[in-house]
Amino acid sequence: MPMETLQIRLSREQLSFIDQKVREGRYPSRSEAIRDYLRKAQLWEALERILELGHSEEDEEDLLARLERIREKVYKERSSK
Amino acid sequence: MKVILDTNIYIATMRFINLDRMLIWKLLEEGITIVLTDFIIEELRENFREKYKPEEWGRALDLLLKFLGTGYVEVKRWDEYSYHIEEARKLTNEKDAPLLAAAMLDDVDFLITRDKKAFLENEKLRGTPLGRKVHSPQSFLAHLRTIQYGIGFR
Repeated sequence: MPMETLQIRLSREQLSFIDQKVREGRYPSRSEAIRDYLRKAQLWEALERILELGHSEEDEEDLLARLERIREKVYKERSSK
Repeated sequence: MKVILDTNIYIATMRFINLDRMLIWKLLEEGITIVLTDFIIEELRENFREKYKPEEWGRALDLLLKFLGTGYVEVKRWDEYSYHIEEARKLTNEKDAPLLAAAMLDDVDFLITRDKKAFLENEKLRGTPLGRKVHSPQSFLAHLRTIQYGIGFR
């Protein structure tokens, strides 16, 4: 993918966060680290948009009860194989 | 370090619970491996099938897996952990045994869950060495802070 170069301003704290990730060996360079965090943010945003479509008024208790029912079903299907 | 997240963590993360969101971001940021199992993926699929229109649920699951894939992810298959199920059944409900069985694997360090009855407040489990692997999102994040500068990650 063709890349464009741009200059960005970061706070000292943001830069030290990125540098720390590079030092830890998570990324080969600052650019790669910033690109990866952007990619995560893009995916998260897309995920949030699609999750809004499935939004309901279910509270945490109802959610956990529904997941228990799903677990029961998946377990039964799996055990019968 | 490798952790298994219970299905309730993924769903809560995507719905309304900020702490769980923070947990997933933290795992990705720290380079901690998220262990998925075929059983968890099937539960996620069922959940999305129930909540979305047919044309949307596949995309929701795909996006979640892609998002997790920006970090380190490992998938354990049923035949890799199912031999622990008998033992797991002695410690928790039958339907929760596959999750606990996967957490019993030697290379899995933690199981993070919101389920109090089956795991977090299960006295039978808490009394075993395996119980030390089981955390709520909150207790795991606190534990992570204490070990982060101590024993380090593998």
